[in-house]
Amino acid sequence: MLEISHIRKKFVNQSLGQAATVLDDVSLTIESGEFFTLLGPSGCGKTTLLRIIAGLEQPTSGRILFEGLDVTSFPPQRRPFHTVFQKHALFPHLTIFDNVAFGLRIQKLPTREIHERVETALALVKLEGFDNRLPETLSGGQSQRVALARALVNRPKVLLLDEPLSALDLKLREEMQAELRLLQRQVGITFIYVTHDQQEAFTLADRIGVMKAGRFEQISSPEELYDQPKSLFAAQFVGANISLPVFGEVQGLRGSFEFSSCGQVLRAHHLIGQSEGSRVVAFVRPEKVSISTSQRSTEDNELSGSIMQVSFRGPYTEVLVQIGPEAWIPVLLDHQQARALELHVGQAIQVYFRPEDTVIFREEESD
Amino acid sequence: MMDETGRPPAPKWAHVILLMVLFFLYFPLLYMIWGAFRTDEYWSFGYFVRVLANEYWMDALYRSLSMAWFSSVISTILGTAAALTLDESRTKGPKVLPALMTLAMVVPELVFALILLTWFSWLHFSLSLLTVLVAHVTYSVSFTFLIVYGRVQQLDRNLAEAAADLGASPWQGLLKVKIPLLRPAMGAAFFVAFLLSFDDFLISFYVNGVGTDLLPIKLYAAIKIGMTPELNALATILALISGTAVAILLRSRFIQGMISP
Amino acid sequence: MPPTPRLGRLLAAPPLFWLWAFFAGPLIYLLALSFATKGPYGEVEWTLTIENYQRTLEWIFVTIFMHSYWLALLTTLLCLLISIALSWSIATLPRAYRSWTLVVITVPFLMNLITRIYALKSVVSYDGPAVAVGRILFGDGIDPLDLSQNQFLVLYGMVATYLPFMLFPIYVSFEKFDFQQIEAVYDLGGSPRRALLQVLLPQLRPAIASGIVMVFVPTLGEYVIPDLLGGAKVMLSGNLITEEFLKTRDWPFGAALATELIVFMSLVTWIFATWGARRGGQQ
Repeated sequence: MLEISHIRKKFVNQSLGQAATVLDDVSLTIESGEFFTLLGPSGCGKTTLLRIIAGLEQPTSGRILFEGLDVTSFPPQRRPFHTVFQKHALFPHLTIFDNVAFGLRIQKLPTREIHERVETALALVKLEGFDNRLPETLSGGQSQRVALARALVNRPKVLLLDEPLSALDLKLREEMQAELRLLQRQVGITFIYVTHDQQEAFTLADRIGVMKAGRFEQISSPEELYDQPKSLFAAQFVGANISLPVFGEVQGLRGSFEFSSCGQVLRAHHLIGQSEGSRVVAFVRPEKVSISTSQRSTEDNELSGSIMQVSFRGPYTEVLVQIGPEAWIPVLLDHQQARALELHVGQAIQVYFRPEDTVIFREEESD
Repeated sequence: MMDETGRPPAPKWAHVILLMVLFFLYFPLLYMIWGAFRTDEYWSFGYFVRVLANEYWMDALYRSLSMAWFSSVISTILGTAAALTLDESRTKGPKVLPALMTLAMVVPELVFALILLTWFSWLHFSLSLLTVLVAHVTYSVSFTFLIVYGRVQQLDRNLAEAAADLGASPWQGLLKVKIPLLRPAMGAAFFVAFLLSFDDFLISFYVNGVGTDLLPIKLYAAIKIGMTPELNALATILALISGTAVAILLRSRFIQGMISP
Repeated sequence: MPPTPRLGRLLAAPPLFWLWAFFAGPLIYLLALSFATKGPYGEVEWTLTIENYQRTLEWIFVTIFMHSYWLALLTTLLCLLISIALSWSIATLPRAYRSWTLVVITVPFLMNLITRIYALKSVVSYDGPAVAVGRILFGDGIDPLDLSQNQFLVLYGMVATYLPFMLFPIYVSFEKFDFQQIEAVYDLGGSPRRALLQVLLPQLRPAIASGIVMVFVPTLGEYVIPDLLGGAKVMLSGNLITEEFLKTRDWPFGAALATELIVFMSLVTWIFATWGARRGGQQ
């Protein structure tokens, strides 16, 4: 179990003499054998947190405990964690074998054991027979595997991965994601994985920590993050989404809100952090929205509008429905459905979504 | 018209100047070499044989070569240490070191020569090959530093971090990762220092002891008296040695990486 | 990576010691020396006087310095013009020839200075080809001594020694230069002269600035080239200072001359470093 307790990190800009807070009182507990993903936009502090865990950076305050032992002041070489670097950081002057054997040789293990473990590690990442190649002769995906093998061969208790797939193209990235997930189950150790790619986080993680400006916005399973986001930022950062700017008032647990421009009444089941009378934002996932050309009697939220644009998006058709002067909703339809409705621009249309799928947030200052 | 490189051709006069420069650089050298082989009636290696058999010249040559060797070894070690220092403690490193190195880079040979002469005399160091060694190292160390530091700055910081992450102590990281990666730059630095020392005249002229003249000083004295075919042969040998060092330097991976990107 | 101060300090100690003991220390000592007085037997008397500096203002020394600056300026200018032509020429050669041409140009520069001077002297010596050509052109009236020791030879020797310091920074800039900009100038109706003056040269400025410093400064302190190629006709600052240190043995006066030289060199370096780093240069 890895406990990250009240970590703060300030960087001092030496030329300006200003201190920037990169991590602001971050706490987190990661269970053994968990695949944990730190997700957030660039500059949110996720990489700094990973480097603090690795020991490559010292926190300004706070502690790191591993299995109850305070490792905060340990230099990287004394921590049972190993890192897979973003650009792999393979030693260019050493062969693949020597790269992977680097850590074992530092430990002064017997030659035979080094040989066996390196071969096992290379087999694990499917690079048998690459022993004598130099890093410069490898493709991006192969370098990635060597970096993995080099870290795993030392049998770390925790493997830290800093956007390891960001240098790869999309197809290779998806392949490697599947392999990584499999590999983590095989070796059974804790993985802490930094990424800014929400799709990657969903594919890989047992739990995701969404970070923004040096703080956690939400720490939960991917399903919970998707269905019950705890903040507008978390909601918007993962998955496609629709957010409706609405004015509203809280009326008991089930609020009902009045849409500012059209005067239409909306209801939501999930209410997060708003007070009465304040400006709020309603949030729905696009796949939870349906449309109809005629009125239908329903308990669902209903908005009427007109079609702005119909566009082909590969697997589906996107219909952009204007519901107010400055408000529109993208609706995703499969092609058959879209054809059956015979949609055209300017057509009047009804949009439906269930109160259960609607979440209301206080509008945040845009940043 | 474009050539294959996609660059518009340079004006004609630029190429003419290139040819003229090549002529002015090489004609004297070739004439000198020709003079070393020329006797009244036929061509021979006679003058070379006489120079190579002459202890007066060979002692000086031997001294010059050993001086170049030892001073560049020391200079490379010091320059590399300085370059690594700035890398190791880059957050709040010593600012004195780079400042001194930069100053030493700009200061010309003459200044090194005279400050060291007065300094040694003040400290009552008698002038000898040792003082020449110290002076040559001081003169070349800013060059070796600059060459190695250029490479140090290009090193992927993650490599040192990766070494530490895999359990290497800072010392092990230095020996197993950084030094091997710096080896080409250190090699280039060594040869530059070698050339600076072997080609140096002025500094040696100032801080040299009695009776331990290096080859350039003896040659200088001989030129003042007059020119002989034997001197041509000697100068040709000197040019050959410098030329070999230059060739090794220019063939090195480090320089090749710099001039043909 | 957390800094590793212990290893850093361990590595810093030897070079720091060396530079203090054999560079910064001696430099400070030279400064102190320039305020001392020469005793009757050439020894140093610590008197704290500015007499040495006053003496450097005597007309004979001022002319020597002026002449040195003039020659250094001429050398720098020649090196600059030649370097631009050479870089342009080499940078537009087919790629395979470029590094070879550079190597061929560099080799003689890196040879022993005395050797190169010797080679030059052998060309202009009384039985050398230069005198022979002179005889053909101007008849027997030519004096071999004038040919073997003159100011033109000194200039030639200076350029032939310091050219690479100008050539290399400028060539590297040429290599990085995006030649499509030249085509863009032509495309917009500009002339080659405009392309050179308004597009190319401004982008070469940092390289030119460092080249000027690297040529001008050492040329000022040169001793061997004027000594062997110029004869005793015109003295330059380097020769003057060397005379004071090695022959007259008036070290305090020599130190004052040297200090003035160093101050002037630092000034030139500072001016051109600032000029080269100013905005508008190549990024």
